[in-house]
Amino acid sequence: MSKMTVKLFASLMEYLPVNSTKSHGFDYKITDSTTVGYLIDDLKLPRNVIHIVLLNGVYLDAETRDETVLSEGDTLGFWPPVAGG
Amino acid sequence: MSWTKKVLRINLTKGTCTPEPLNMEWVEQFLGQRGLATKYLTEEVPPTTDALSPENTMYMITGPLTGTMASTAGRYSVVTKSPLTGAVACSNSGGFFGNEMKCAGWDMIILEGKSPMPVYISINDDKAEILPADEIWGKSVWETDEWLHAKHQDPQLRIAAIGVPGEKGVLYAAIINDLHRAAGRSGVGTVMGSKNVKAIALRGSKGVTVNDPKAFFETTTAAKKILAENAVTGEGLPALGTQVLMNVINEMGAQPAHNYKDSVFAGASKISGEAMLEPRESDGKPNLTRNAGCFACTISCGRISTIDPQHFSIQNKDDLHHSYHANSGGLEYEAAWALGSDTGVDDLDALTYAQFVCNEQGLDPISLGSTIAAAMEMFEEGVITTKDTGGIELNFGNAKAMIECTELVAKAEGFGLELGQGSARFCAKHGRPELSMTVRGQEFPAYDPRGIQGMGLGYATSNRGACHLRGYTVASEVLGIPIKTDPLETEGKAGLQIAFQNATAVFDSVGICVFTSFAWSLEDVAPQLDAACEGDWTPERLGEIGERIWNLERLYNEAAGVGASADKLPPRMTTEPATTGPAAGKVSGLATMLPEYYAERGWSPEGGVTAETKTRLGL
Repeated sequence: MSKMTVKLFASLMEYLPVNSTKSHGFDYKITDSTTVGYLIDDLKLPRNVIHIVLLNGVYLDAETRDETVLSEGDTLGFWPPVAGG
Repeated sequence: MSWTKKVLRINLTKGTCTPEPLNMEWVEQFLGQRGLATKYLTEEVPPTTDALSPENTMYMITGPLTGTMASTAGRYSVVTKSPLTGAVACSNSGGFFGNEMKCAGWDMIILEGKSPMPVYISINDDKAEILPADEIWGKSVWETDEWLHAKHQDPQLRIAAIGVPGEKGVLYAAIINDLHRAAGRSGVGTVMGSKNVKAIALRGSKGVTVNDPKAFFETTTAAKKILAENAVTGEGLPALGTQVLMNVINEMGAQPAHNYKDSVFAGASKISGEAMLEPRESDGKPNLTRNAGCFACTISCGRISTIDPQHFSIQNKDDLHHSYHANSGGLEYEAAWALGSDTGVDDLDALTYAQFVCNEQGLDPISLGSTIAAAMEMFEEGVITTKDTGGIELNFGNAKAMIECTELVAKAEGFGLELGQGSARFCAKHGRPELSMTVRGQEFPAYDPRGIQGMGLGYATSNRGACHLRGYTVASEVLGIPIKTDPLETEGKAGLQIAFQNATAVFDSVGICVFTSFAWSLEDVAPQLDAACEGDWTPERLGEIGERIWNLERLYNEAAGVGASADKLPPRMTTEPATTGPAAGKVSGLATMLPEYYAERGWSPEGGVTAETKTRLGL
């Protein structure tokens, strides 16, 4: 098993495990075939709320999320719809 | 008809307050607020005018929906020639001042000339007076607000004022209304100070009427439903405010840090919107107390916060500074970025304090933070020393130094006088102009153009100097509103930027907040205008008005000498690749985007507005 980092922001913070750090992240164990879609369901993240997904800072299209396979050391960030200025 | 069709022209040299009719022919072409006041400016103030001379004129103007029950309809703008940029200045503010102006029976207040002595303007419906301000000259915005309320014995008085920086020529002084809403950018407060005007105190009791009340009620109610049901305007902005962006922009590698040397800031999460919710050790309370809304706003993105009572910044503040020890306005993302990641400071309470000072004294926190950051880079390179800074060890990450600089600019004293001239003049004076992260002399906002390509084009072409609020392609490139585009690609960004620029010019001219555009398009704005005003306001017509406004501003800037020759980014953006994150190795593709932009604007290859385009737009 290898590890990567999951980060949850804004209203998705309520899905953070109790031991997560202030930087909103926690370690997540993956296999060679763990996909973003599997992770979303495993963490029971609400698919209808997730809007921005950044894999190592790069936006993942909604269509490609379920199939995208995670690698060791990846950082995956989730946000609901947000904006500002 | 939601226009009052009345303008109050105040000649400060002569000491006169004269009503005049609003030019309704210009309304047909330029709508209101930003567009309409820019038309007045171009007709009345020659482009080569010295911005701080009596010959410059300042326009405080509402939009057609200001003061109505449309959501966010409390906006007003201040339009003038900018002393910071030499270009058109147009700064937009919320709060409750704009609707009060309309309720007093005025669409616009014009300040021209220069008073021989410090004065404030008192307006109570039709009665307008120029009154002595000797007792408040030299005082802060907050002290001025308190003094005026006491003097007039009216708790409902709405006040817009400048602090000491505006009086003393700090080039990015803001006008603050309702204690912590700002017409913030481009030094509009400096122009007000140059006219010896300390404040405008308003009281209006007339109300605002609309053309078709039933239709207006129906269309504004439907539009509010759209805002409420939209995840951004209905949930995201009320919960975390603009500061929700800190972690998004940082994680995608477009968070400017250390005077734009870096595009990722290690301390970002400590100064983010999420961090504002975390209970602190001293009193168990979070930084954020609650959200707040301006007049008629159904979004309520504003932040009301407190500083940690044990934080060093407020330990020696007496009762005169009670607002440091209580709830006040802030922290917003642009202030948090400029005063925080750009200076390398990750102390949330230090940033909250600095933002409070900006509100207290009327300063643009973006220009302030960015200028301090440029000075920090020069200090670390040895270009300036403690001899220049008055003993301040001005290293990146030094929260106390950032605060000392903020206080000095707020008092316009010592090293603060030099910092108060802005980053471009500061860097040029010390022989390192390339370290100034500015366009047209105005400091960059919070998005690295190497990581969000459309924003680089937006900064370079922005008519008021570098700005995120002229064409916020971040919405598309990062947030997926209305559609997601690749932030690292230059292709298609010219058209995207133009679409945002034109639409924003309309939103800025209506009297509503640009944040509604996260949920509304011109299709949603048009029926509200149509019910409020005479005329036929279609989305197509509004789109053309937006383009006309943009070109009018550009023509003024061309004549002022800050047209196409100023459409450029600092060399750091075009020659120094980003070093971390997804944009690593990338520079801004401005050279690729700019010719496409000129062509799609219908301008010459050199960036001039062509005769054909002028004719098409009726300019």
